[in-house]
Amino acid sequence: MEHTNKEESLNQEEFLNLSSYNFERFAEADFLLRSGVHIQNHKSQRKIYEFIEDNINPLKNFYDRLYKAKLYEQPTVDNKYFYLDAEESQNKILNKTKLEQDVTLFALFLFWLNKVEKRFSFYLTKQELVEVLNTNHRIKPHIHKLYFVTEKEDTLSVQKTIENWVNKSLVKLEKLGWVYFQEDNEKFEILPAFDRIATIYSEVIYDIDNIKTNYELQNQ
Amino acid sequence: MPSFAKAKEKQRHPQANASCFTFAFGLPHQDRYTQPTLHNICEMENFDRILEIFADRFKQFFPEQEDAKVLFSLYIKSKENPEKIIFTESEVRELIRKHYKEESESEKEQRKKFFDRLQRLLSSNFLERAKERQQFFLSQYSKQLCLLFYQRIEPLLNPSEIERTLNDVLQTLKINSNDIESFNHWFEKDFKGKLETELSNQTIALDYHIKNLRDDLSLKSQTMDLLPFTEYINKEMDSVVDQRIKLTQAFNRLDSISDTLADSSLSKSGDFEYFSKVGVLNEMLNVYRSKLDKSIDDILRIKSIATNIFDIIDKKPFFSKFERFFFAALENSRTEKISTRHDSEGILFFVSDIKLPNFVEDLETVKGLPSEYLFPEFYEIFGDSKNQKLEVATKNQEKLNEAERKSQLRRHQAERIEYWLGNLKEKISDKEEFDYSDFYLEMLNEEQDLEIAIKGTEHILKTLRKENYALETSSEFSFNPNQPNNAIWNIRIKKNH
Repeated sequence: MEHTNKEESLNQEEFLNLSSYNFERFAEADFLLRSGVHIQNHKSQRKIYEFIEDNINPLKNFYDRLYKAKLYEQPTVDNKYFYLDAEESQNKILNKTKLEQDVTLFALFLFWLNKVEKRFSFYLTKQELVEVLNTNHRIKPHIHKLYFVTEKEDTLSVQKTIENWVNKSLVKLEKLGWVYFQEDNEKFEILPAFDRIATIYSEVIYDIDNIKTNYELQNQ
Repeated sequence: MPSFAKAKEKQRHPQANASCFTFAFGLPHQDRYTQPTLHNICEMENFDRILEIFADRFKQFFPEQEDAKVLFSLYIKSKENPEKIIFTESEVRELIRKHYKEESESEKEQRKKFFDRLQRLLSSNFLERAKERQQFFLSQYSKQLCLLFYQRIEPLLNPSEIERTLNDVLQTLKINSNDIESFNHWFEKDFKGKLETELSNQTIALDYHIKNLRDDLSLKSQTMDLLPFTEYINKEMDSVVDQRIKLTQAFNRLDSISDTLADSSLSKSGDFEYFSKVGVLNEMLNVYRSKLDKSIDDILRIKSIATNIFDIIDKKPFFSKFERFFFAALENSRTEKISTRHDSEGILFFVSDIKLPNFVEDLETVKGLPSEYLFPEFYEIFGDSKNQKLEVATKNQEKLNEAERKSQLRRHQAERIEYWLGNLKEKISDKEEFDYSDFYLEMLNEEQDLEIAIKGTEHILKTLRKENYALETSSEFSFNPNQPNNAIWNIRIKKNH
């Protein structure tokens, strides 16, 4: 018993034993992770990314013990990204927040655009998105149905509504570290961590044909 | 030679030059020289590209982009056939239908929209009515506008054009660099009027070339098999890299302008106006140089996507399923409520409460910043909750008791924290430096309440900072064996003098 206590005490002494040369990044990294930001090896997050990579084990231990949360390392095609996640039932300190459903729909639209339609576009502009929403015959009628009940002429109000949806959603995705705006507020980059969309929905995606059929049968 | 005559000339002698339009419509490989230039301008795809390059400028002239396409189509028709000046209503209608892409509408709706759009073209003075009421011709204003835009896109990617212009401009600079008046004239007419325009055109052209490549590869990645696609990428990448190298070489020769300016008699005489103008000139050159530098990043990024080509091909089936998932989500989403709002300029817009189908689970992320824990502004609300009175009517007694208990706890904590603050102030009153860590452990030990120790520390340190004490934190920490779960960084409090 005494031995166990001694061992515990030793472990607790080493609690959050960060590497000495960049430990000052802890506060910022901790703030970002607990704000739901995904951290990746991108110019805007490089120092934080390196800090987490250098201290991955103590940090995993730290979040596990203090917050009952898990610091995930998710691989991408050529690198990886980090994010913090927690089971709500286990947790009293870390809450979870749901993305609004219109923003979720936008995120799915953006992922589709980036991975299917514009595979070689490493950046996109808001104008490009609005253009697709205004002209793609598979998308436009549904978006108009959701926002205006029926398909409408391109008036100033219609454009403003679409632009607002795009702007508002991009702000939310930027806060998660999924997109990055360059020097202006128009052109943005899709960051590697945006791939998490595919991970989150992977089960549904693999079984989409059955799910869709069942859903339509239920809602007939 | 007018631009379209030139284009036709290039069509007849395709090897003569990698024409401007060759760039706009595809990469200048040898096997592509046969692509006609003028004819392709009429194609929808190319209109979109022309509109994209000049999007901002178009907005100033045309109420709708489609109007511009209609006008350009008419303009091109009259250029192809110089005798064709008058257009019938059905010709105009056909173009309007084509560019507004509204084939699916009923005949009645189409007719109404056609007349609205025709009316707009007439009232904006883009079109004029001919003697016959149902015939139209382009106004002089429209012709000039179309001509301006086409002249602007004519040069496109052609690095040797920079070299030619540079040679001309250098010759005139040598003659005009002896007195300030001639130099100012050269600066406006030759440098800004010729060379800067050319540099601007070429950098736009390279950007556009790269964007064209991205779109093209995105499209091909959806349809081509791995091997032909890999070969295709390599071929296209070689072409764009080659274009950039040529452009870089042309840009490198810009140094000769700076050299000539430095050797001029005005430079030697130390004329102030001359030097400030040279400063502006160098700044302008640097802008274009940096634009050119940026293009290499874009090329490298295309390359890096292309390097992962196996991943793209491998994941095709997955993304095809994702596409079905996205469209299933979109098609089965519904709206609970639509409300209207106005933005700051008074424009009405709609906000929709969208509900996704139940097979799209919510996207959740952590949001665990305990704000009161880090920023203890809550000390200001240590008293009874402001809402407590309102809550009485709605909450049951159990909840009220719980609220009262919490309120008492907050009050108790605040009192204890104030006590420890007073205690600390006494201790440091006659000392220059004080070790806070020991004090923290003492507070923790005595209170046996972690919350008081942590919140107290926040409050005490914040108060001391305001009262002009300096706080130094080291990377070492202290902990009490009786409270092994809690440690504190070693903090020294120093008096500021």
